[in-house]
Amino acid sequence: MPQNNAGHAPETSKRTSPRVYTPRSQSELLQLLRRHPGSRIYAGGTALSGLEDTGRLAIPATVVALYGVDDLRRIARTDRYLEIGANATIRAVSRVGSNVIPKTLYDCLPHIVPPGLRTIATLVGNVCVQGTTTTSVAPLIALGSSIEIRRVGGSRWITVQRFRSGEGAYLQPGEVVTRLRIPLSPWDAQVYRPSEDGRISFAALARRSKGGVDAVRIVIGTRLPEVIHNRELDAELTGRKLPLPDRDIRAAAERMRNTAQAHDPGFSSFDLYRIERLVSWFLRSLTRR
Amino acid sequence: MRVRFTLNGKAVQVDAEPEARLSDVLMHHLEIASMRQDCSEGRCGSCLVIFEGIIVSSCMIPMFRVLGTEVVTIEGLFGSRDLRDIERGFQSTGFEPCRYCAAPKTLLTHAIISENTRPREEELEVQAQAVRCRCTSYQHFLEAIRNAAKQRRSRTRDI
Amino acid sequence: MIVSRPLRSLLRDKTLNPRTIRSPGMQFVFTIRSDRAHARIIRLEAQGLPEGIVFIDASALAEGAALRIEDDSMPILAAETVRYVGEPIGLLVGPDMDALREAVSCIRCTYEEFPALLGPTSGSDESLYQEVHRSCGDIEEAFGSAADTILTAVDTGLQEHFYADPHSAFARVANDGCIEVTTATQWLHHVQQTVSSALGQTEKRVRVHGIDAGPTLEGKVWFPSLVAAHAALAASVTGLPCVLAYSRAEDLFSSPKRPAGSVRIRTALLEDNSVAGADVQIDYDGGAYPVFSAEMLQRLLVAALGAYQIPALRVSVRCHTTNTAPAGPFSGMDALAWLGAERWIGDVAVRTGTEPVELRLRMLPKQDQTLMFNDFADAREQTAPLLKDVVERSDFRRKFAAYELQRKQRSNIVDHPGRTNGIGISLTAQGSGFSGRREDLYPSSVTLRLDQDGHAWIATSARASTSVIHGYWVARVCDVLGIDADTVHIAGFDTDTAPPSGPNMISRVTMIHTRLLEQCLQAVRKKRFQKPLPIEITRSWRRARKQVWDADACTGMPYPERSWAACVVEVEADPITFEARVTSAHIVAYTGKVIDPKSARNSLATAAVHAITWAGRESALVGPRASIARDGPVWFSSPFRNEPPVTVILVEDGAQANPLGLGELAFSCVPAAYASALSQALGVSVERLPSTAGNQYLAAGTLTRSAGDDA
Repeated sequence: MPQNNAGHAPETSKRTSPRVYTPRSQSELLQLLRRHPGSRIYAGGTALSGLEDTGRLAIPATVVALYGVDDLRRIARTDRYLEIGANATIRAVSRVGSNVIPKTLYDCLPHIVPPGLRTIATLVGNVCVQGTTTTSVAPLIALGSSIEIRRVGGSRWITVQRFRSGEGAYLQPGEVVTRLRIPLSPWDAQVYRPSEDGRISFAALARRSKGGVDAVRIVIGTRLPEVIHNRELDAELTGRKLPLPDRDIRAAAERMRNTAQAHDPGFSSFDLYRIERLVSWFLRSLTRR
Repeated sequence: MRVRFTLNGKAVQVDAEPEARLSDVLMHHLEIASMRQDCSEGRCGSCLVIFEGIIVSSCMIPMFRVLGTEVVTIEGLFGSRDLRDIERGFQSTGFEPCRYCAAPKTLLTHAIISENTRPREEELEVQAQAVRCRCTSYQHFLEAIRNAAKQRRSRTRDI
Repeated sequence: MIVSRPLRSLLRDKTLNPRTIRSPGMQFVFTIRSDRAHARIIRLEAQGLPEGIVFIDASALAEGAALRIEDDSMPILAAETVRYVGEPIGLLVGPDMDALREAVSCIRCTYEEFPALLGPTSGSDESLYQEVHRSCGDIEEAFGSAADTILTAVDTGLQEHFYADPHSAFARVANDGCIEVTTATQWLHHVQQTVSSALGQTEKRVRVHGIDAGPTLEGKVWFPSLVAAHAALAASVTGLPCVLAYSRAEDLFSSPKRPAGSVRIRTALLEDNSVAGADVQIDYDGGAYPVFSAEMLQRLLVAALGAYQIPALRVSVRCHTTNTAPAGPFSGMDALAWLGAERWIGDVAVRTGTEPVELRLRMLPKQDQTLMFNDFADAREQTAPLLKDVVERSDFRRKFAAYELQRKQRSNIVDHPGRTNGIGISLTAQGSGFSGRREDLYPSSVTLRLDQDGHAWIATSARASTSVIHGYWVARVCDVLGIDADTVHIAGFDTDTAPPSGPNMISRVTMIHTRLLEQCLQAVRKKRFQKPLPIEITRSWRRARKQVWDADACTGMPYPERSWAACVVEVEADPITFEARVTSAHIVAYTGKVIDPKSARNSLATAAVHAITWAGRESALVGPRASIARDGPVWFSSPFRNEPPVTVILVEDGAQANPLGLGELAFSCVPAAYASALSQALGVSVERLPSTAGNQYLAAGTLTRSAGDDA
């Protein structure tokens, strides 16, 4: 069969216009979700389109839009946390400033969406879109961030890592993510390095104390929905004296490489090489600092 | 659905499908001459508009979201002093965008300097990448925005 | 001085755009394409098409219909054989795009599939389309006496033009029965010829309204003619106005690209480290239907060893035809040859331990000596000062020595802890206008009319990609005739008004049409108060007699004019990720008279940024079945990421009163300097462009890992 213009088989199903609900408050939002449990949440809407220039966006059949719920735009800071509402845009988050937002996340913000969409795309939306984890998911997991999931009559907090790993934590019908909570723990070293080809991103944090490493977190974002995070490795590096011996750095890097290989057999040797090198570079940089 | 909104300061209404792209409606239903759509996924910046006071790629805005909002295209700046500032800024830089990106680059410049006549360099460098037409270099565009901001400051005596 | 167009007039531009045009009864056109790389069409039919939708195939075309450029041609719709994935085989026409998309499922095409060539064949001539060979000196003796040989290898990938607007065309049957077509094109009259051929009409029965194509990097030279022919065919069959507008996705998938190519140079070195001779082979893949192949071969041949002189040289340039999408001209038509030549001299410098600037100066022709494959006697005179200037401004010698020392001290790039640096230099020329007698195939002309009301009209189908040239034309008319800028007009860009002038490419507009206008102006000035108004003068281009080019002997002047540039690029590479960043670029160019220095510098700097993205990361990927991959890195990657500062110096001399063209210079010199710089930074010879992180890893990997490792 011939291809259509863009080389894809066309969709032949008949269209029906989507039904869109625009609640003005969180309680109205939750009620709507209870009444329409199969509906999709619309926040920034920047993950909707494909390449086809059809004059229309691919909106699901029933949509509950968040943009009318003003209190979900809120970005609040306490001594221990930064809380970001589900309606807060990437631009709004970045304007909180680099002195508040942890560096590993701040450095990631320009890479999440194209500049023309920063004003509507939301950070929570980026966490919720099932796809790659090369953008904000890796730094948020490294920072130990959590999300608040609400439904009529209840709410719960789960970590972003658990949410993205799919350990029974995906949204249930009638539920919505309302807030993102990022711990503001002090870190001495924070890194976010996306690869130019978009295949991997590297997020790492470390805290030092009394000549040793107090805590380490190394998370690799990939093109798969889950990140690479070897928590055992983090734990083993914690409490070590600095400088780390070169053989230990090499061993740690190799373990991360092996974890990555097990995570995605589709990784090329170049991907694995980069992961190994980034880990050893980060651990060596702790000594240099 | 019937969508009523404000376009360049005037109330308009249009019958459009809720999932229609704002860019498409501006081009074909409302015949906004400056409007273009290229990549259809918010990357190229050809279809930038000021939507509820913020600059955004209108190809990613569905019409259901436009209901009751305010939209400004470059036509909304015609005859304004704001546009004259930008024109002077571009001219003093020797910056001449092509006919395909003149409107989005001008509108983007307007959005940036209207929000802050002294835009932070870090912010400016991210925002200026919103239009990806390759007729000029990025450094040259940055310089043009800075000069447009200077013109705006000098007119509004924010020196 | 130029008269610039105010921003507000640009913003109020109401030029008809096929993409936005809507007219009563208007039909949309949707292109049906082959999904086979090489096959015979057994049957193509539409079954159960919804009412109001029309299917058009090649049987609707006039007999002998084809898109032709010199001796190259391609079908407007494939009739019997398809030769690449994406080749147009039919058109669906209807009032609603959604319905057309759905109607695609009604089209059935049965094929008998043939083996497909997905790249040039090595070791056989199966893919060969055209070739040229030349030699001078005794190459056999050179290699016979060689103490050492060097092999230089460079490969380049397909590259997307990334013009501002995807292809589109609007066509309708006018009241007088003529076909009217509107499209953005660099070659107005080629659209007219192609539509005439498609419909079997005389050219007078086809009117074309051109739209300025903006900056295209030569991406809208000939392909708009094909798109326009499809729209015109649909309008002719249905009798209704028709619009055919590609989405960006379709455009990326189906439009021609810069061809992929390779250069191999074998060099004979004598014991004293001097070069005795070189054997150059340049190959490029023109795809299923190569276009401008004769011109491409000629330009690659002339530039085969750059600006350098050696005792013996043999060059073979080959264009291949394969079952991939047609690949045509790109800004920098001979950039592949310049890239090869500059990488070659870099390799010779490394092997002989010679400082690269010294080696270049040594190998330039002696004073008044011509190059091997042309009689340009200005190579040394023009380039030596440019080289010295760019070296000084970029602090090349000191940095090169420092980075070279660092490179030698590194045991292994893979284990290196910090970033590494490199700096590269290159030299290039741009031949403006077509080579040899080929300019005569595309006669250029300009008409200037001074009316009784004092208004002056410039009519030509030449359109520059920037408004500067037109601003200069207006300013010249004002200066010479003493009239106001608002009484000088550039007449319509349509076939009724503008005389033919061939394609607007290789700086023809800057170099040729500016001179023609000057001739018209002087003629009008002389006649102005002697003859009654209106006065209308037309001047056409003829190459000067002394500029005869003998393509067989490779003697004479290949191009009407030539400009020169020297370039230095500095890069920083990260051995952890193998990503590289250009930290600075310097270009010193001699381009004759500079119309507007600021604009010319900006133009060259912008081209340099494009050339860096080509060299560094931006290549169209070929996906399964040799079609362009939809998710390749060309999809709106930001060309501005890490954009380096580019310093451009334009050298003028009083002797040259005309602009010589500069549009292609950056594409020919920046990639070579980039590759040299990156080779130094990584300590390996960068042989493949774009040199992505993965490619660099592979190259460096040969130092430490076994072959066959994938990236």
